[in-house]
Amino acid sequence: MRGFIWVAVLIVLGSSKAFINDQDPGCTKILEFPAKDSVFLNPVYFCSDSLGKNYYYSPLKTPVCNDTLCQVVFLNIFWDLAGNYSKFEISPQIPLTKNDHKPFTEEDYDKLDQTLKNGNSILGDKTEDELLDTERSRYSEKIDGVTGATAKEIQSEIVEGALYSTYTLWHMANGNIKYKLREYTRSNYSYSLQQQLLESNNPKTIIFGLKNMEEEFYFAHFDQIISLMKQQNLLVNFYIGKNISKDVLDYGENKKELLKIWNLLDPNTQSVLSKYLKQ
Amino acid sequence: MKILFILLFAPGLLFSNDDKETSLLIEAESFNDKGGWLVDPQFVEQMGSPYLIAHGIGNPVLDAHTTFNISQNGEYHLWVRTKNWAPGDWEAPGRFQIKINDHTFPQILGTQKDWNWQYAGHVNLKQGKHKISLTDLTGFDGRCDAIYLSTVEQAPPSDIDELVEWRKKILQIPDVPQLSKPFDLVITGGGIAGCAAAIAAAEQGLHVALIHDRPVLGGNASGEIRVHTLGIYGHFERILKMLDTEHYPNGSPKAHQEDIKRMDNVKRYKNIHLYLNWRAYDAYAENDIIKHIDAKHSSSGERIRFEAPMFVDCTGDGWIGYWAGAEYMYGRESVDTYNEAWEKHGETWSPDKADNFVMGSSVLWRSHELDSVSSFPEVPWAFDVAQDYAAANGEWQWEFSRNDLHQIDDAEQIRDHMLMAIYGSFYNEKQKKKNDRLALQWVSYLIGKRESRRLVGDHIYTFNDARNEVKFPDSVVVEEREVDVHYQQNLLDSDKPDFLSEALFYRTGRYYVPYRSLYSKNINNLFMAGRCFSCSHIGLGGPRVMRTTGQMGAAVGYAASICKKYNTNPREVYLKHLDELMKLVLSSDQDDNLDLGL
Repeated sequence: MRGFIWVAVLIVLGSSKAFINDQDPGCTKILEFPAKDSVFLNPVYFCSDSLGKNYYYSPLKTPVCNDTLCQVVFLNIFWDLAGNYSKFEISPQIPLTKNDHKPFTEEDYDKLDQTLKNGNSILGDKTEDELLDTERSRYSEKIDGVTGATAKEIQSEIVEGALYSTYTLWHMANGNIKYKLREYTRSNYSYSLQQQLLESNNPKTIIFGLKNMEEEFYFAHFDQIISLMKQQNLLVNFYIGKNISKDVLDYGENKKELLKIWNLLDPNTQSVLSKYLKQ
Repeated sequence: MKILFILLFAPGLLFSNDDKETSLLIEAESFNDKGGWLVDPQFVEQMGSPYLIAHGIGNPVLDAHTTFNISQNGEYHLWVRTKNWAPGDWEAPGRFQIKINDHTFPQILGTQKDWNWQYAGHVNLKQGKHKISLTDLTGFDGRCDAIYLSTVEQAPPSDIDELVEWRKKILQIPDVPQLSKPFDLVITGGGIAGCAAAIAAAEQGLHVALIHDRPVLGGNASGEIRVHTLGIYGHFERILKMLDTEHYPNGSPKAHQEDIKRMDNVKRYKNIHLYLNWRAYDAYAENDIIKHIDAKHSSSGERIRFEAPMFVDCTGDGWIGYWAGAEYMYGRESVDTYNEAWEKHGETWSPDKADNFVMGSSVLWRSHELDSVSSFPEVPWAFDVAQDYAAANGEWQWEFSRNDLHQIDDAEQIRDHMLMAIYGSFYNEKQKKKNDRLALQWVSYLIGKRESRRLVGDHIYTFNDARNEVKFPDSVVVEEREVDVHYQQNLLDSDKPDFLSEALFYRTGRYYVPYRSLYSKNINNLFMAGRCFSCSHIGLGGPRVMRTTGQMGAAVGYAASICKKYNTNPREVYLKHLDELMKLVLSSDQDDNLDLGL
């Protein structure tokens, strides 16, 4: 069966148009990572946009296979500096397609983006063998036969009719590459990168930035900590609340500044900070 | 002032008089006819007593009645100990009234914040027998702890410590229960772990007391809470099949059938002495050895002292260990404490710094379609919590934990928060046109806890024991379910309501819990089985489900029999009689082909 799949991959590859790489000129190739179950090695770039903002990017090429046939998927994937998936782009000439070869709709792309953004998706806990509910089955026009139905517990996470594409791309976007990118950020850490991490909308990315901060930062940039807390991101605020020191709060007007935003803080954060406010 | 106390006909109903004052305290839970009101003993340690709750899920429940005798004609002032459980700028949700004979007191009760004595009014009563009734007005969890009548206009104490002493005095509660009962083994908590411990010990010939504060066995698996059992049987398939449930959806009424099966099976054992509706309230240890535990009947107030050479804490909250002075842990350890990092999930898995964010408690609920259109009342007091969230039923994700709320000390607030979430979300769902026939079918009033105190044993079971699949010489429990740890959804998405959780699953192969995690490190005759076994916060993630905790129970039941045989303690069983224990455990295997890796 595997041999058959590889033949199918090569046929699809041979017939596809050359993938157009729209990468930013400010990009440096930093590593390569393999596509799932294939020989493709995907380059990953560290990039700067025109405003000097950094991100990671890969023009991804990966086979997506079910039991009977394979296709190659082309997709530009972007990650932020904490290795968290941020967005994807597709080449208009090579849209993503479903099992029946119909192209993705706008809703399908939105659904895919939403699933890829969920780093905690249940797809991360599933092996390919568990994607189908073997007790149920459905008819597929394309392969002229009956295939397994999607397991109920993952239905809400997948693009309808594109089970294996969603699953494969989730693992490409949220797999081990994340940790390699984090390592690259750590080894090239700078004030600029730190600022970008703290300006993220993703709480996990902000916390990655906070975890890499020395205590001096809290002293020197308390105004930025207050600004962060005003965004009322619960995990971020709770992390700050637990990790900020008494010395920082006793410094200058810091405690007064904290009190000004006290009513914006959630009970979790208040519960870990209140001990510092008692005289 | 000399006061004469006279015990009246019904327990929980005490009378005192002298030439200046005649007074009477009626404990609500001791009412002869409770009508549709339910006894809620969940928060005794915090608010002082079991109480009656009008849990009618939006429909007023039937009146509760009892009778009392008045020894002296006079004008009596009447106070009711109650609580407005959702205070705010709206009518209180749990409103009710008091009636004596044909006189209804106009004062609406259940309207004051926090547990306290609310003045209901005064009435002239003649010497003789009278009837008192509680009339629920809303069906939304009005609550009544006690009623106090006095010829003197002086309310009982508000402060909880003073109130405890006042109650002791007025109810003439002796320091020591008048009745003592000896057993070979006393197990507190009749969840799956406690039942399994009782059966295993009883099969080995021990005389066992099983004390449980509910009318049915099963704890979280019971028809009162309705969580299905998960995990594998390990070495104890025969025992656990007497106790577990099918894999129906959480909240299913099928749980009642399993209750019957479980109760029938436990009752078959003549040497299991079942104390249902009895709640332990103290454990006394001398030189790190528990001598006895004291328990009280949730309605009658009777007390019994249970004596034994060995005890098992299956309370879930680790109460026996706590009272006896056992070491325990609470909250999330820092990631470095036991090296339990999982980078994929970072702070939501194990935090850099320790905190009190344990896995939360659930209140399960469900609705159903009626044949005709139904209405559901306005619930303005629910929307601070529910906001605009809409739902027709609640599964395991309906879970609440907050760093500032303790799963034991603040349990009533947690339960009430979930009730607000449920009633508000159902109200929102009900506003949809398609749902005009939708009605609430069942809402638990008992919270199903996942995590609270964990008693410390000779071995603290951690994530590393699971992910490294460590085999121990004393592996008495085996499991293969994922390590499954929850966090509140709103931590990562502030738009989500605070009463929903998400699960993180770490897959592993078979893992094993050693016997040394099932007895206390510093209380020499105390076993524990259930969620209060010796583990880290993450270590609890895998074995916290009920077939697994049932395995723990069965293992300690067997270990207790060895303790009795050699007149020794749990640790000595590990040190000197481990081969015999493991032989006993392995002999329980029913399936010869099951390779459990030992």
